[in-house]
Order: sequence, then C-alpha cells, then structure tokens
Amino acid sequence: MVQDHGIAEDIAQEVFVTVFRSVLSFNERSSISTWICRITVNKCLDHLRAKTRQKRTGFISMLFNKDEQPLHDQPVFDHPGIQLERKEKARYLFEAIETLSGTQKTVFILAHIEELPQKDIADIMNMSVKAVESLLQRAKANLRKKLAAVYTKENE
Amino acid sequence: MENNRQQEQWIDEVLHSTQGMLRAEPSAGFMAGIEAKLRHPQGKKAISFPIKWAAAAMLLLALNIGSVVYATGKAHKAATPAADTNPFAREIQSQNLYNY
Repeated sequence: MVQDHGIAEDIAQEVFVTVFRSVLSFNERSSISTWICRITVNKCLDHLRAKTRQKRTGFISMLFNKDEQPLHDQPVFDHPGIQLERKEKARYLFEAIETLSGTQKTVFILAHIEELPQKDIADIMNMSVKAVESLLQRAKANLRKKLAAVYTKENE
Repeated sequence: MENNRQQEQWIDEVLHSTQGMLRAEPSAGFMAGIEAKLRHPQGKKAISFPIKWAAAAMLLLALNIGSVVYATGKAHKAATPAADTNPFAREIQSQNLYNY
C-alpha cells in the first residue's frame, strides 16, 4: 500500500509494537490474523493521510522551516518479488493503484494482491461483504479507465 | 476493433502482472528496530509552529471580516427609515393627502 520498502518496514515494526502492547485488549470477536491485518491497514491509511496532509501544508512549512525537506514523489517502482518481464506492467498497475481512493486501494490490494477472501476483507475493513464487492468493482472499473488512458498515450 | 481488443488484452495483462509475486523479506535490522521502538516509544507529534501560526491568522481574519459585516449590516439598518422598507409607507409619502 505504501510502495516504499523502508516505509513498509517501519509500518510493520509499528504493527508489531501495537500488537505487543494491546494484545491483552484483543476481544476475540475476530481471528487474530484479521485483527493484525486491520491494525496494519489502519497504520497504512494513517501514513497515507499524513502524507497527503504534509503535501497540503508543505508549502507553508517550507516558508517557515527551512530545515524541512520538501516531499518527493514516489521512487521508481522496483519490487524485488515481481518477475523481470512483468516489472514494466506492474509499474503501470501500481501507478494506477496510487490514484485510487483510500478504501478502493485497500480493497483492491487485499483482494487482488494479498488474495484474501471477500469475507476476510469485510472483517478487516469493518464493512459488509456487499460493500466490499461494490468497492472492488468500482476500483477495477477505475483502474481499467486509467490503464486505457495510459495505453492510448503510450501508443500515440 | 483490433486496437480495442489489443487494448483490453494489455489491460488484463497489467492487472494480472502481480500474479506469483514473492513476499517481501524483512531486512537484517528489522527485529532491532522493533526492540528500539518498544524501549523508546515515540510520543504524539505536536502541531508544528507554521500550522499554528496559519490557523491563528485565519481565525483573526475570520473574526475581523465577521465583525465588519455585522457592523455594516447594523449601520445600514439604522440609517434606513421605515418608509424605505415598507412599500405602502413609501406610497403614502409620495402623495399629498387632503383630509377634509
């Protein structure tokens, strides 16, 4: 979800710390894996929100605090787990995923990349299976639209 | 038609490009990082100075605009006689009435 190895690792560490600190408050209404997944998704969404906020206020911050570095865009996509011949296409996919809204992005990644069943996604995101289905359909439709635009641009 | 088919095929390939993707491996310092975070918990970040400054300036500006609008409205109301606001009163004032 964050597409940066360093940030992903930092979030994973925070998840471990949160799980360690609040495992006693886990009320067993869902499975432990769903609970950990929910914490991870929330941490990722918090990070994305903070990044958006930082981008919005970045100009003011730069005016007053010269030490603060401006936010840079995503580095070039390079996932070590993707086969070389698919890397170019995966880059297009992740660039399109970046443009989705927070919930659509989360549902698409959990369903399509993590390959979780819709029931588990509904538990993680605290919504109904119908809502997950609808979000997934909208996410796919939006991705198809974005990728069609990329294809047209590349073949001009 | 052929172009559309090619486009759809390309989109499908892109959508399935992550199939068989390997899981990321944690770096060597991953566990050490967790231990460090457990030992030195980070407090909540305070709101930075420029944001506080901007919020205060916006609030002051909003208060100023609000008070100016309020004062202008009040002054306008006081200056307007009843004849101006009531069409019937305006009509009566524009005619000479002779009450024999």
